[in-house]
Amino acid sequence: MTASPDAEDPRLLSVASTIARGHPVDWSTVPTDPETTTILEELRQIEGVCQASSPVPDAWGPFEITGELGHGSYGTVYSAMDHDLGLEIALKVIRPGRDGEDHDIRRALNEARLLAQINHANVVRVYSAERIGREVGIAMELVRGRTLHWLVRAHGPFSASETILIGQELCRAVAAVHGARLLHGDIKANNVMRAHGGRTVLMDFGAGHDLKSSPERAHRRAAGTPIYLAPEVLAGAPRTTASDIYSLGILLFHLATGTYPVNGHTRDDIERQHEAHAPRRLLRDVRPDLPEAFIRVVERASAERPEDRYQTAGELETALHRMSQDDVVPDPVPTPLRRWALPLAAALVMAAGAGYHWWPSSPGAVPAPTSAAAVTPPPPAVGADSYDVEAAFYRHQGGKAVRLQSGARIAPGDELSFEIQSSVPTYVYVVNEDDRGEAYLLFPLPGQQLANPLPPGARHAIPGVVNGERINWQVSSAGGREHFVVFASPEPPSPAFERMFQSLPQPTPGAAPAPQPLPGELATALRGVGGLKKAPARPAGELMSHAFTAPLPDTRETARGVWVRQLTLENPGK
Amino acid sequence: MIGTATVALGGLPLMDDADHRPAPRPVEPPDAVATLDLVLKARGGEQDACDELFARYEARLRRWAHGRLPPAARGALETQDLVQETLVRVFRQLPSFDPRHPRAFRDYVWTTLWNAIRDIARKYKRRGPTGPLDTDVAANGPSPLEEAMGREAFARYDAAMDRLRPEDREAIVARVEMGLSHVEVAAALGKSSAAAAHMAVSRALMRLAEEMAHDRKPRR
Repeated sequence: MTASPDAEDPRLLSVASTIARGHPVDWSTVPTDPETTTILEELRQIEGVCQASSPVPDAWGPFEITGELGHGSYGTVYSAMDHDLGLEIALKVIRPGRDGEDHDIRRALNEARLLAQINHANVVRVYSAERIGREVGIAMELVRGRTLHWLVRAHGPFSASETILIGQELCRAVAAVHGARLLHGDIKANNVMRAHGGRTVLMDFGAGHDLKSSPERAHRRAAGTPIYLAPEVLAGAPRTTASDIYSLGILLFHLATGTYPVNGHTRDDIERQHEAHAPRRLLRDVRPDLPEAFIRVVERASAERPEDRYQTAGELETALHRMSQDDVVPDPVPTPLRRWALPLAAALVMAAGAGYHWWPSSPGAVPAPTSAAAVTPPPPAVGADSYDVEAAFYRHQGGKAVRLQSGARIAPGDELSFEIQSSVPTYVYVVNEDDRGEAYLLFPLPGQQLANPLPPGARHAIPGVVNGERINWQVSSAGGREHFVVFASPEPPSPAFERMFQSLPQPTPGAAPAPQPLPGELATALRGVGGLKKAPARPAGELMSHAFTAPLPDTRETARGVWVRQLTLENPGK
Repeated sequence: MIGTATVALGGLPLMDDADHRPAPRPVEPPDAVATLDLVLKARGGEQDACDELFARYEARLRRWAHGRLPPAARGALETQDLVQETLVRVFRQLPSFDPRHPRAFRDYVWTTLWNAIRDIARKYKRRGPTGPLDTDVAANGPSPLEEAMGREAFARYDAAMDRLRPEDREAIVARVEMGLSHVEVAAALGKSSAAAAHMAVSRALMRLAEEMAHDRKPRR
């Protein structure tokens, strides 16, 4: 074993202490003897790790560093104390790479100076900029809060009225930036904070450019986030105020939907889509509940051709303002969707020993806090326990979603999705079974942004976002018929039930799962529950989905307890 | 499919997705007592406490995972979702803790996260981020930690870390793998000051070196 702490070698400890500080060790001065050689060799390895991971330094210039807020290819943002001002600040330290040129450093300083002139509640304040050696430090207001990206991801899309209010604040922020003869260049949900207290703050002028700088310089490198970049900028044109407006339009689309109008995985993908004028995802398809006027404003802001867009941030703000004045904007998302927080709160309640029961559970079922969906706070009291459900399957073709009726034909390669909306928080399970009796669990899956229980009042697209990508199901082979069975309930399934769902194979991107038949207990356990055909125990070889005869309706239904519906699609192949 | 990964260009400032996301509060570091307090509040159903709890761990865990994941996995939103998933799992499985013994809570969270991060890294090493079809060279390339040390030394480092006493491992993870400031390390480890935290990290690094050397001797 190792040497005991009492037998510490002070020379080794001194080397370790230097490494812990993140300082380089002057190995030429370290005395060695046969006893410690190997240990020193290992410390040398560890020093390499420490330097590679660049632990937070204790200070930068006059500022005492208290923590790290973020880092990227440009450098790092720290939280720091400015003892002269007696103020806690955000300190952005820019470190040009070894090949970084002097004019990069000068440009960073210059941009910081221009930004320091902007004094606007919706733009992050810049206090000072300083150069030390080959590093530039920009002292900025420390904004406490969450990025809009985080909020969308954690709580789901914003309502139309909220999106309009945020949009107006951002337009004012961008107008102030443009008024200072600057372009932002990287407007996106990650660069906008909602401060504690509700103020919207535009951050990060990382990719910003001086409007006065020459066009060649401005488009030398179209830095920015591809999905938010205007098509003309991706194609190599210089940035303009109209390209900032485009990014704002994309941001509004994202706030209202959690998705983007253009599909594409990489910069090249996105560029190709723009070049080919590929059909875009339409706001009215994703959120048909939004007011038409709002949809038109977002479409115009994010128009493909710069001349079709609003020409100034003020123009866009006026359009948004008019809508908020008209007071015609319904609020289709009733409460913030606390998608993350709910399972956590519930998990803690469970940890405290709370139990729950519903769905006929197997005898001896023990609450298993490990299951993905077996947690929920008590559902809100709804009159007579009834609730409204509406659901549909879609096939996606050329950017359009076509609603599928029972008996519709599908073929390998087709992309499918499912949408469901309920008036109460709902636990949803979607199972697919083919004619051979092979079944998959289609929802919920690990990595899915959407998790049970689905929040009420919003239309949820399933599978939705998985591991950060918006995905659909894809028909992988032909084979007679495909049955889809949808289970929904305002209450969580018993752990035993949950385990049964979890035991089904799950499709993963790029890999075909090993199919297995739906367990017979499922039919037995669910028999007689909402919408099920009362069937005797399942004879061998009979399909599970035959037990569920109630077809998926075209319209909203009022349900009680567990709601089970099925849809059969023809998948005959050629 | 919608791609949401940012493209990192060299040179001047381009903020990636990690920026300004759930910012840890530097003046209120995540010491075990405060965290446990949040857990209790969350248990009482306070949404802000839940959010805060996630935000607090997410930023740190992401940095930690970053060092142990191959290049292809980095920067992608995917990584963040993995981290989110991990946190949801860890917090969901939290046993109940006695608020009078914050140490037990801290040790539990650290140990669970340690195992979770290594699981993620192992998973990525095996098959890349998006499954066998998309596996490219980069997916199985070395992680930043591995690259800094070399494959063989990293294997020794990782094995030695596993054998260290939990408090030594926590100190090294906090300072080296998460890159926390000494002020934050002090809060995370329940040390009285930044200087005490620095001493704890130094001692832990020394024991790590001894443990690594121990592994190497028989082979040479």
